Amino acid sequence: MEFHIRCDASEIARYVFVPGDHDRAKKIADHFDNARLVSDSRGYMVYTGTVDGIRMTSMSTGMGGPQVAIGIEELGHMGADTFIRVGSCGTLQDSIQPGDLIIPTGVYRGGATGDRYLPPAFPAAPNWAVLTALVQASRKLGIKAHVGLGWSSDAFYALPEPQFIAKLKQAGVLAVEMEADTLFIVSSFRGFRAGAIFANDGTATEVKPAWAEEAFRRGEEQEIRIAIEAMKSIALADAAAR
Amino acid sequence: MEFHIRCDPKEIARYAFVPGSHDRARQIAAHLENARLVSTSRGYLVYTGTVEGIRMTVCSTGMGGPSAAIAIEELGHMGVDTFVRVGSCGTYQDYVDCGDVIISTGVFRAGGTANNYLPVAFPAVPNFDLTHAMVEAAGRLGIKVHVGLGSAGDAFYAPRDEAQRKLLAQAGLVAGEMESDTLFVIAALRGWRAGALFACDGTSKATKPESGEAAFHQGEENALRIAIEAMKSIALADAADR
Repeated sequence: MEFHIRCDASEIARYVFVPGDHDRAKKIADHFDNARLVSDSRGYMVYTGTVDGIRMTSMSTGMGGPQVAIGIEELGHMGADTFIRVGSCGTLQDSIQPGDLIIPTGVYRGGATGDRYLPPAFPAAPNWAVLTALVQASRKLGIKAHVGLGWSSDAFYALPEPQFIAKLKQAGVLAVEMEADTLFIVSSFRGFRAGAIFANDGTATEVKPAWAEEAFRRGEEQEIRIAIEAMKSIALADAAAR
Repeated sequence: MEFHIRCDPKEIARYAFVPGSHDRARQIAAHLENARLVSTSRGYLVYTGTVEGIRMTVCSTGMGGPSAAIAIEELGHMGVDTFVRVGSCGTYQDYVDCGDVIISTGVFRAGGTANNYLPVAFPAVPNFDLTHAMVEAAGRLGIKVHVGLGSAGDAFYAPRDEAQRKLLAQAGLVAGEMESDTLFVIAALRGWRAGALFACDGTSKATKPESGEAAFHQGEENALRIAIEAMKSIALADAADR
């Protein structure tokens, strides 16, 4: 059995959603048929069920790179090879509103966990098939999503230099969050496929304002639908390629 | 007038192909209607013509980050906002052969020029729409491509770090070349769209083997047909958006 995710390997599906938030892991599992809580250790809430007959797992990683890395490594040991992070984020851009969705094409490696795998010069980019499945799912469902860059950081409450933030803003960085860098780097290293989608809970000037909560929750429900639709299309393509 | 690309800005189109090689610039220009050589200074061969009525420019950047950076900055000053690098590359992977075409989804930043723009942790990734347009164009033209990550470095003949090469091969890098890191990072900072594709001129064992030359030239022709087809579809989408 794995050191931290304590369950039988047969309980884990090949296709896994990896939100940070425990509540969101449950919300995703609520879209599954016959979802079962298969593990609840070290804060990893792990549910497995099916969508249109395809087995899928939803697991909360908690916040930050170290827990993401342990989470997806152990899921990988148990047979998972396709990951979609369904996250929340803030934004650097004035044009992005609370509840807006962002699909990252690459992220700034502000976290340190990925550095233990591959040097910072290695691009933290999603798998192309997962990225395009997410974009196509959003179009199919008629839900608008921004497609662009993100910034993953280890320290929610630290104070980065205003000049540095201004530079990333100029360079078009849309989303700010804490896990995608680790997910993308560990996945590249291990040969897993990974992608991500975020629902924005702030504005360029405000961190998680209370007035934005309702719009964010709508965005969260939309990103879950997009992620599930994308995962389904990836699984169907895998089955057809066999 | 710009310091290095000496021509009237009116001679430059919004859409530009930026191969490293001068011969390839000529070869791309041969696919344009009414192509004219508009500048030859500092070794930048610049041609402008049309494809089905859409104005396009080709500019050879020369080899390496410094001359690529100057080229795209000056083209940008003159109104280019969409760049496709049509390059050659070597490969890290045994499954890639001479003449194979690789579309980049991100690149390991082994070059130094882009570090003057954004820190090495910033992801060197292409614009999604442009990359998607190239993948679709390859499908329409019936040309098989690999879609994935690469590395771009400054020093073709420097001694190889075999341990790092092995690590990067394990992490799935497909292409090795010298310019796309600079192109992607500068384009992000300036708000331009950039993409890249390469024809492979080697194998994971051999650098530019003579036996692969005919296949490479076929791949080069395939790559530039994909690039032109993709640029056309981007220009048409831009016109529809207006």
